[in-house]
Amino acid sequence: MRIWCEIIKVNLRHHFPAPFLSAACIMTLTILLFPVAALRGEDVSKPLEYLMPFLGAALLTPVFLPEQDCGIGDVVESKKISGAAVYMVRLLYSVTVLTAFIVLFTGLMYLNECEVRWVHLYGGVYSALFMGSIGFMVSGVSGNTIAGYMAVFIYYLACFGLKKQLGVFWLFRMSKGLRPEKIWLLFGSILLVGLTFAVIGWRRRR
Amino acid sequence: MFLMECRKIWRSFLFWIFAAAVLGAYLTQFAPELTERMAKPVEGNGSYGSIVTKDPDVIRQKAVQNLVEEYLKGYYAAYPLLIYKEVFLKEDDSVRMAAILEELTGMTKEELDSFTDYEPAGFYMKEDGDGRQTGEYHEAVMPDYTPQEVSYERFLELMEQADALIGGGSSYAEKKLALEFSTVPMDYAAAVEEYHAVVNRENIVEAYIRLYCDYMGIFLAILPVFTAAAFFDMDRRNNMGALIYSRKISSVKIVGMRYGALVFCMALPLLLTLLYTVLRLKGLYPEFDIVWQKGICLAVFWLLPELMTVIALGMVVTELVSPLLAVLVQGVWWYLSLGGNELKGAMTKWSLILRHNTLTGLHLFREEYPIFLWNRSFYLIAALALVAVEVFLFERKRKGMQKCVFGAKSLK
Repeated sequence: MRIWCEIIKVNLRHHFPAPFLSAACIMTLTILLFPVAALRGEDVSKPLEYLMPFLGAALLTPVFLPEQDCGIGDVVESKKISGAAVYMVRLLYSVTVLTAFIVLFTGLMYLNECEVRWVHLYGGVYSALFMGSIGFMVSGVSGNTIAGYMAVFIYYLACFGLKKQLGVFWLFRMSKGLRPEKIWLLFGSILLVGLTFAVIGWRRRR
Repeated sequence: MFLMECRKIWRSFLFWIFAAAVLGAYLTQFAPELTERMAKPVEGNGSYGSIVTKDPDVIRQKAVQNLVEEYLKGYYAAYPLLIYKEVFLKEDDSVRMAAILEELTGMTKEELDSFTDYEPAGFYMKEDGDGRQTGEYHEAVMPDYTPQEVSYERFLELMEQADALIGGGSSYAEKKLALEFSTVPMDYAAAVEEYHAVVNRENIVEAYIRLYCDYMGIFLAILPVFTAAAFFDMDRRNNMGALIYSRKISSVKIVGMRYGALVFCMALPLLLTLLYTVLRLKGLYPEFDIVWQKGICLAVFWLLPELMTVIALGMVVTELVSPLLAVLVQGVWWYLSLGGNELKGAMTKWSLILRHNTLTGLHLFREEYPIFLWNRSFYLIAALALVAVEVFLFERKRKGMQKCVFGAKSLK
């Protein structure tokens, strides 16, 4: 138990400030750019679908960043506790903070007399999770965090031009008055994260 | 050395992701426009699009009427970045808005506030003699006022003040006035005239290239930063700094070659898609001996400064801080540029992404051409200035005088 606390403490101290600050900047930018008061109908979803999903990219994509320095990667792999377990710890606290940010933001909208419903809360979380899991997967499989961010932006750009092709994975469904179907984004996130750990595990065994 | 740098880039999978994304964007967004010729307007078709007349009298009359309506409604419409917003003014700002209206209409605040018969324009249902509901269009019920004699310059100043009171993003901002208040439906004759102005030997390629640049500009404002940031971070990641810094070759050459190689390599997918576009157009319009050189020059001048600026900024921020901050900074800039632009007719001096999302609108582009030239020249110079900054930073690092904002220590 003590070891796990130590792992969490070290990672939060050394590897989490920058992603956390980036996420805070994104949320601040969302509040500055989007009106968050007295919103009705589809307008409530717009900040949650257009900008807040980047929280996922900011928090989840850099999970593998420290190990891109070969020295750190070798040290982590040499320990009794597997590297995958460390990644899982980072992933869990990142997802927790991501959820907290979304809850805070929807709470802010609710207090500012927006017509917020439960679907906005979990839709916002699932959207951010899915964007983040794309970056997480590309970053983990390729060993390059910048590639992870690039994949996130390519997906975001695809959402502007490939609405029909993306189907239930189109990010802006609620903003355009379509059925949210956000559960598919959650399934997609779980699949991408699972795939990433599978690839990492297979590489270690090789 | 230039070829060596190019080979390094071609071996990077980030470059190939960039190339695939550019090609994917081209094939999904622009290539459908090349499947058939531009449709000639057909008489009796109903809608032929709209035209921005930019007639000051029309703008003034419609803008003032709209502002009076919004004052009477009690809220003002604004569209900051993709979302409709209803702005309710505080008492002080409302008094200032009433003062603006008094100068434009002659009506005092008391007269405006005492007008209680306002009704917006729209369809109202009424029952006819057989008990059936029919819709009837009514114009807005407005107070009578006589537009005051105010110079157009003063009118524009008052509109800017109104926009500032609303908090920005309203239709009264100078760059939106013409679009919002002087757009009128195009008639068949005007549509045919515009068609013939575009579909000819001289202008057909430029029309398609403008649309091409509109689409590709969105991707070029963000995608190059990833390859650029990763490339300029390579020395630090591979611990090659000491080896490279100790070489005799000048910093200008190192930075110049790397930057040049990045710009060249990332321009290659664009050149390929441009060449394909020209070939398709020759096939679609075989009756014209099209002037493709003008189109290529336009594309180069439209997209190259943007590409150069994004790469240069990514390079400098990576050198100063980290590649991840370079991605964040460029991401924010990209988002703000994208959200703040109309699809056509609103080129500004400072916007990174220039939009012209139509095959027509030749007269609109001609009118905005000075702004277009200014904007692209500015970004060309800005890119070169950023390269100079990078050379300065690189030289300082080599001499051990530069430390990153986070991380690497100074040697002195």
